[in-house]
Amino acid sequence: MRKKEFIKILFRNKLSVVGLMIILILLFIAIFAPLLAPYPEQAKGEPNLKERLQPPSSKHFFGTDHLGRDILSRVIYGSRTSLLIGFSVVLLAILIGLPLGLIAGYYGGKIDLIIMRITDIFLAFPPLLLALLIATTLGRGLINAILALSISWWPWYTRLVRGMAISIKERPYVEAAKGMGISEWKIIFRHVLPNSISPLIIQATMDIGSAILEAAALSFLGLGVQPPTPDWGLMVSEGKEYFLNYPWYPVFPGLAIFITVMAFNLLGDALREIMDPRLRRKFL
Amino acid sequence: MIKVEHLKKYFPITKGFIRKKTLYLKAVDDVSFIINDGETFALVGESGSGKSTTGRTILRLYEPTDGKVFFNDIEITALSEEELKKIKPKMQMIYQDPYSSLNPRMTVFDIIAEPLKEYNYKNIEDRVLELLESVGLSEEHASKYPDELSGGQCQRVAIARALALEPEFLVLDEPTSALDVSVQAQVLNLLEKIQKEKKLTYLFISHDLGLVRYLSNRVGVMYLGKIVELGTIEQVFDNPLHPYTRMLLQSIPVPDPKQKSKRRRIVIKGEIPSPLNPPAGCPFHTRCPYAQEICKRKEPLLIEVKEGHLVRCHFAGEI
Repeated sequence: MRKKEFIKILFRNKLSVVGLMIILILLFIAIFAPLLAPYPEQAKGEPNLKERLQPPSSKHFFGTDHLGRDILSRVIYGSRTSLLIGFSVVLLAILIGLPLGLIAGYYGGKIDLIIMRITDIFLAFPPLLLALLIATTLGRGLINAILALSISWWPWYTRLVRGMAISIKERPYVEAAKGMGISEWKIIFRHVLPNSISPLIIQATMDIGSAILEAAALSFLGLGVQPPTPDWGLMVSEGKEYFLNYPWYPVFPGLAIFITVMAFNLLGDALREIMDPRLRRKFL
Repeated sequence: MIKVEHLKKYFPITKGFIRKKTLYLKAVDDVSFIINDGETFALVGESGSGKSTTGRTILRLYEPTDGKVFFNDIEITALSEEELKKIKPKMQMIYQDPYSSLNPRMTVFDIIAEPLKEYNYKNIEDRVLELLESVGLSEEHASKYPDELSGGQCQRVAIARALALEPEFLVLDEPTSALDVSVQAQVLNLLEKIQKEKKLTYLFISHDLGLVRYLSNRVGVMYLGKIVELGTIEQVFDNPLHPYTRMLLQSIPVPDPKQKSKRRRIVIKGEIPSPLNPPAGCPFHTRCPYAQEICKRKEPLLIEVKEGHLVRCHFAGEI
């Protein structure tokens, strides 16, 4: 599929445009957070005890939290944490999962058996439970939360890529490359990898959303990002105690999580439709 | 040029967690033949007869279970990986499905340039253009992707790629069976033209006996991994001695229906048996109208009936 065609189809699907726009806006907010946030110092954690738990007003659009900090500013800064977690978890998981999947699928045999049994061990745990276990072992904090999530995530990519590699390596063009004496690593990187990667891209896009959600869950349980770092999960966790009397406190960061996860899911869905030729026809 | 001696390729059928080898699929079972310089040798047979596997094993795309293959007196089957890499350019293959034999994520230029880069050719751009022209394509096709080309054009690209390394021997694995009839003729003419120009030797794998007669010098008929009849085109087509060959020949449509009624008809029952569980004795006895007691017990040998005409049947010449 050509790039032009790809972009054309992407823009015909309205939901994918919405998803893409939200993600672009989020990236913009994350990059320019210091300029956009009305109270950058409070966003970073400076308390403002005079204005505790204020309702939304023209001064504080989203209200203030239990330390008087502007929730809007903290939500804006929280986008940095969330996107950082989402992208790095998926990237790390791909870095581990993709090569292992390619090796297992392409070579097969004993190496495949060994890699797959290792993924089985990881996949036997419910994903969040495993991440909790690792996070508890590694200790609290942003980096450890990212590591914990990636470690529980990579086996999915290994499985996905392995399945694709197994089907691609039987294609005649791979055999033709072997017949021409093309070296094995070139066959893997030039022929098997580019043709195995579409489902991975789709999965990874959706997983950025899921990783943000799971990171929020870790923060909520106190195992992820630590205060005073601005983080949506953490804000929901802190805000839950004030939910009945001061509902804006947990609701705004919660909405931010919801919109972000949804945006990545929409884009992932759209990519799946574009890359699947049977679904693609609908848009042509 | 090519000498195949007692070639065998068995695929193990594995079962269960520990991958115990329980059964062997005898895809190629003791096949021997010679292909002379510059000739086209055809292998014909139904699907599952082992003709494609024979072609791939000769190129060592599959490791042979047993037997030897010689290419210009070099024993290919005894070469190490590094030695094999030096020989590989001399022996190339054209595949049945032109689309799936080209990487959909590479342009035509990259597809043809890939083998040239691997073997450190110089002036790659000129060489690719030259190759494109030699198969009837032009510069404008170089930047296209396979899914922008027709089946015939894809097959031309595959031929150009195979020619890139200046081979001497080509295995054509049903090179036209996935193409439209009108395009088939063009591709076949191209293959013939290239053969004459570059003095290539062809192993032509096909189930289309009409094409085989038109293109080949000699032919081997395969059934369940074994050659049952082998000879020149005239010997096999004008005087078929094996009942299976006769059955195949009768399946060629004849332009004149009156002609057809004159031919002696052999009605063949059933389908090709599973190569996992081939019949005892003569593998063809389950479908042969002339089968006798001996056919069920004893496997016939491949016997030279006339010079260069070999048949594997107990009753060759009698029926």
